[in-house]
Amino acid sequence: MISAAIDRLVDVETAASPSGVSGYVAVDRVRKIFNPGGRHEVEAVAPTSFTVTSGEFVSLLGPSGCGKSTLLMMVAGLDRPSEGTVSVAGRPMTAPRADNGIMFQDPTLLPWKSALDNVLFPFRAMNQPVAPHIDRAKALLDAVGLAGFHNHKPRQLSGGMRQRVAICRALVFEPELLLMDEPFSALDAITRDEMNLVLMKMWEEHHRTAIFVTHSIREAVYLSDRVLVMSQRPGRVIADVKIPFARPRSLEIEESAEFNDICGYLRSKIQHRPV
Amino acid sequence: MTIDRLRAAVLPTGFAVAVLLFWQALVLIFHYPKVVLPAPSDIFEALVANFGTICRQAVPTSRDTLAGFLLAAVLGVGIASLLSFSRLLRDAVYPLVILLQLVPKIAWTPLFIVWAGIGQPARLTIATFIAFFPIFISMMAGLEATDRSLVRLSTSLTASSWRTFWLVRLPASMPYLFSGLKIAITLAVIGVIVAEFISSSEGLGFLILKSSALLQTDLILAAIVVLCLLGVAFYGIVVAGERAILKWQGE
Repeated sequence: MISAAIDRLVDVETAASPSGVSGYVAVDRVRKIFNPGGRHEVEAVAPTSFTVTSGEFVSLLGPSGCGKSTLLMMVAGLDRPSEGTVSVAGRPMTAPRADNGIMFQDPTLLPWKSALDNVLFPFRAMNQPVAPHIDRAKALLDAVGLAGFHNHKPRQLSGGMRQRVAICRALVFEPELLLMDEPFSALDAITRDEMNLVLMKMWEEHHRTAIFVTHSIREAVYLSDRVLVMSQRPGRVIADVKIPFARPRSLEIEESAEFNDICGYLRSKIQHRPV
Repeated sequence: MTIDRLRAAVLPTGFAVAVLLFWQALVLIFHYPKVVLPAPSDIFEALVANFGTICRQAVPTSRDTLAGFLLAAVLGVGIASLLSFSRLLRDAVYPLVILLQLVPKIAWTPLFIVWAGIGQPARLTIATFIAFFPIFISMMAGLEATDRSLVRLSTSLTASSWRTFWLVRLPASMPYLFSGLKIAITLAVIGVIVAEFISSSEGLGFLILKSSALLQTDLILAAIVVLCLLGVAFYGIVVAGERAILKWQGE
């Protein structure tokens, strides 16, 4: 069984990849309670800990409503933990930082701006001059297959094209950490495969640390170096699984027996079924 | 021009001409006294004969309408924007404004005359007051309807709340704002005319009231015709502004 080899509890220290800084992202006994003390008190995240090595692509995999997005928002500094701490690059995360790039479930593009202007939006938000980055933004759009669509408004683009713009926007200011909250869950299966390929290509070129939230097992396995499985609400990390496939990965690995074994193992973890 | 557009232009025009002809025929057949119901031809004659007077009186009415409207726009957009920065302020002020808005605005008119005196300041105050509410409420609605995920994106990129307002919330609320501005411009005309009825010695409202006292019904209607044209022109300016903004926004 591969399970014994790949099933490692979070408490066990994960081997750092040779180049990366281990503990680049450190989530330490983080807990989140909404409406504490109120009638609608909900424990969204049970005390949980994990670390991410720099340069690593880690997925948070779990059922809907398990608190995985909440956990990601706390890593992003958009939400504060009720207990515990989140630190990135050794500094505690208390507010959003300019070295994080975020993708949401929706492309969240400004409807009145062109694709190019949307990619350049981070510089405007950070109150930095835009002109020096125009060439890079254009190159990114070309790289995700949007050459010739630079001046299109979001309304004129398909769902997949809009998410491509969002990928470019998350990468354009070269953030150290890429945080993605189910970015492709609203897309159809074919477009989703396509987007996984685009994301993989962009990530392999830019090689940032990445945390990817998803409820799709196959997506998590295809994209990740490591998959953290979360329990039902209140969510906590219940399994930490290393994905062994070499990079660059093609979609063909999804046909392999090993791929399906890993998927089966993760599925059993999500359902709390002994293997 | 397509058939549909031709239809849209020809049908209402044709109907209007038919109504005018019917009106003219009614007066010719039943010989209504001119004081009660002047014929369209009489109104046209009165308009031509008094064109200079009517135009002179249209100037203060237009001036006060536009000034009141602009002042209301600045106040409405300004106060709504200010409230969008503070939840506390918003929760304290907004319900009160909504309550105030439920009172018929015209009822306040005599009060403004007591406060601002008989003259232009009172007329301006009334026009501003009556035009303020739709602008404020629509701007408020626009700011609050801004896509929350866009605001969150902006926050995640470390934008200040001022930059988020400028880059996201303000442009996102433009369609809402213009729906308020379109209501406000017609209300501003109403406000100025009502103010001229009770506190003025100039303006189209004054002309209408004076003509009524002199039983010059044709002149009343001639003034109303000009007032209609002014109202359409002002509304057209706002619509043109809306088109320009929406085009710029790529709608």
